[in-house]
Amino acid sequence: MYSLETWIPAAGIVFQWQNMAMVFGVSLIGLTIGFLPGIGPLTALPLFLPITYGMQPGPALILLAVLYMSTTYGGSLSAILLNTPGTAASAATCLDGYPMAKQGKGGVAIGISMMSSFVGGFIGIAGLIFLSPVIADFALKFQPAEYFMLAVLGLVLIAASAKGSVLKGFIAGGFGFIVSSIGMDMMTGYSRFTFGSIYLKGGIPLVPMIIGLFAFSEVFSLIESGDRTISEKGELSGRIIDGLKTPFRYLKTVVRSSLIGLGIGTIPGEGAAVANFTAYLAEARASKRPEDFGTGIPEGVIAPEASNNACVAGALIPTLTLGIPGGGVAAVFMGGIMIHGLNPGFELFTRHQDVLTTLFVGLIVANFLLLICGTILSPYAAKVTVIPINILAPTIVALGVISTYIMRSQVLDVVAAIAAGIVGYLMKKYGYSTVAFLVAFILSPIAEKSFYQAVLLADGSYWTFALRPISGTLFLVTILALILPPIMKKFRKPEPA
Amino acid sequence: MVRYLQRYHLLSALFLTDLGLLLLSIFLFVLAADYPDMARTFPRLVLVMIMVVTLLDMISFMRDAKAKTSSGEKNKDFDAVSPRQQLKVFYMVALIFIFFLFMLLFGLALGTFLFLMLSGWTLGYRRLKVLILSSVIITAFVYIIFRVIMKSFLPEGLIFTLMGG
Repeated sequence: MYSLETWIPAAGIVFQWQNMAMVFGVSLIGLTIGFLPGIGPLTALPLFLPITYGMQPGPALILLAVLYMSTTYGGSLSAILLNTPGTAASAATCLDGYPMAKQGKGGVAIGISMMSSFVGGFIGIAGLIFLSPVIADFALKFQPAEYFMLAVLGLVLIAASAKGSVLKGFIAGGFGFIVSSIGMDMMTGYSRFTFGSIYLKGGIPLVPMIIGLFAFSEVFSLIESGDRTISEKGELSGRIIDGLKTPFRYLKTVVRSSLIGLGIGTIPGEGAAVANFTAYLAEARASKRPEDFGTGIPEGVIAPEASNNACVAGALIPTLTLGIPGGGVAAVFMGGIMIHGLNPGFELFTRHQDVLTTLFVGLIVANFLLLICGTILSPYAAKVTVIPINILAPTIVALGVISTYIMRSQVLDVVAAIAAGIVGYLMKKYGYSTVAFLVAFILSPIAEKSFYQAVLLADGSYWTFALRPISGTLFLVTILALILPPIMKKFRKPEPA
Repeated sequence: MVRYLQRYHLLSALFLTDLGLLLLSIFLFVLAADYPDMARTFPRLVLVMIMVVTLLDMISFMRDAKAKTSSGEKNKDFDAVSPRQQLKVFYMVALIFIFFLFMLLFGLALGTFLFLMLSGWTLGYRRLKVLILSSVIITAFVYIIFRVIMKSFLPEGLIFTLMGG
C-alpha cells in the first residue's frame, strides 16, 4: 500500500493553482468535446498527448486522466439530449435518458447522470487505489479462451437486450462481426471482403463507424420525423437538483453498476462500451419492472452512468499495475506514462509512488470539479433540445464530418461515416439493433484473435471454451442468458388486464 | 404467385430485408471459401450463425403475418413509407457531401458558415436573422474547438490556396 508520506506532497502538487486551473480547464474542454457526437476520449487524448511533453509526470498524467473522465461525462449529456452518445461508453444512456428528455425531464436525467457518474467515478477511483493489486491479479488469469467467451457473453447479453426482436439483435451483432473483419486479417495478413479496395484493406475505422451509426443516422431520423424540435414541449422541465438527489434513492443500483463497471474496466479489451450495457442489462434483469426499461426511468440512466465512469478508473488498473492497457484510451494513457520515462508495473508502484499518488489525488479532485462544472454547465447544454431541427441537424452533420476527418485526414473516412449513417438509419427503421452491431464491431478483433489462440493452445480442440474453469463458467452464463429469458417468459403468469 | 406472396406479406420490406441479408451472408460465405484456413474459419462460423438466425426470423415473421392476417389485425410495420419523407433523407445525405465539398473549397470557417446557412434555409428555416446568428455562433464554436484548442489539421480552402498563388 502507499505510504502516507507520498500523499501529502501529492496533495500539495495537485492544489498548486496552476494545476487546479489545469484540472478545471481540462474538465471544461473534456465536457465540451465529449458532448460533440462521436468524439470521445479516444479522439481527445491523442490530440492532447503532445501538450504533456513539457510537463512533470504527475500533472501530465492528471491531464490525461481528467480528459478521459470529463469526455466520458460529456458524452452522456449528448446521449440524453440528442440520443447521440458522445462515445460508445454512453450508448446505453440513450435508452432511458433520451425518453426522459422527450418527456420534458431532461434536467432530471442530467442530474441523475451527473451524480451517478460522480459516485461511480468515486467508487472506481477507490477501487483503483485499494483493489488494484487484487483485481489485476485476477485479470492476469484470463487466457484467450476466457477473452473469447467474455466477448461472446457481451454480445449475447446485448443482442438479448435489443428492443423488439432478439433475433434481429443477433443478426445485427453477426454483421457487426463481419464488417469488423473487413480488411487485412491479423493472423494471416490476407485481405478479407475488400473487393480490391486499398482503403478497405486497413479495415473500417471505429470513429467513422460510431459517428455514422449514431450521429448521422439520428440526423436522418430527425429529418424524416418532420418534428420542429427534439423536445415536444419546446422547453425542458425538471430540475437538475432533483436528479442529483435521485441516485441516493437507488443506492443498490449505483453500487452494483459501479462495481460492474470497475470489474469490466479491469479486463483488458473490455471497455466502458461493454460496461454500460452490461450494467444496464443487469439492472433490467434485477428490476421488479424490467418492462419499463427503455421508457425513461431513473435506473436506466443510473446503471450505465455509474458503470462507465467506474470503468474509466478500472481500465487504469491493468494499465498501471501490469502494463496491459484496458482499452484503446488506456493504451494512449500508457503512451503518456512511457513518454515520461516511466515503466508501468512493479517499478511504477515502488520507485515512482509519488507520481501515482499525485494521479490519485488529481482524480479525486477532478471528480468533484466535474460534478460542479457539469451541474453549472448542463442547463446551457439542455437548451440544445429546443434548437430547431433545421439548424440542429446540419450542426450535427458539420461536427460529425469534421470529427471524422481530423482523425486521419482521409476523405474516404467521411464516405465510410455516411455509409454507416445510411446503414444505421435503415437498421433503426427495420428494427435491427445498431448497438448490438457496434458492440460486435468493437469486440470482433478480440474475439477472433482469442478464438484462434485458444484453439491453437488446446491443440485444435473447441472443448477448451467449456472445460476451462473461468471460460467454462462464462460459457454456462452465456447459455443461461440465451435460454432463460424465453423459458421465463413462457412460464410467467399473464398480467391481469 | 404474386397474390400468394402478397397474402403472406412476402413482398413486405421487412421480409425482403431479411431475405436480402440471407442472400448477402450466403454470398460472403461462398466468397470466404478461397481464404486461408485461419482467415476464413471465424467469419464463416459467424455467417452460418447469421443464416440460421435470419431464417428463424423469416419463419417467425411469416407466422406473425399469418396470424395477423387471419385475425384481421393491421400491423403498422407493413405500411409503406411516404416517398416525400425518403426524399428528405436523400437530400440530407447529399448535404453531408456538400458540406465536405464546402470545407475543401472554402476552408473550415467559411465552409461551415456557408453550409449551415444553405442547409438551414433549404430545410425550411425562414428566420434569416436567427439563421445568420446561429450559423456565426456555431462556426465560431467549431473553429475554437477544432482549430484553436485541438489544433487539428483541416483544409485551409482550395480557393484561398489558389488565390494566395
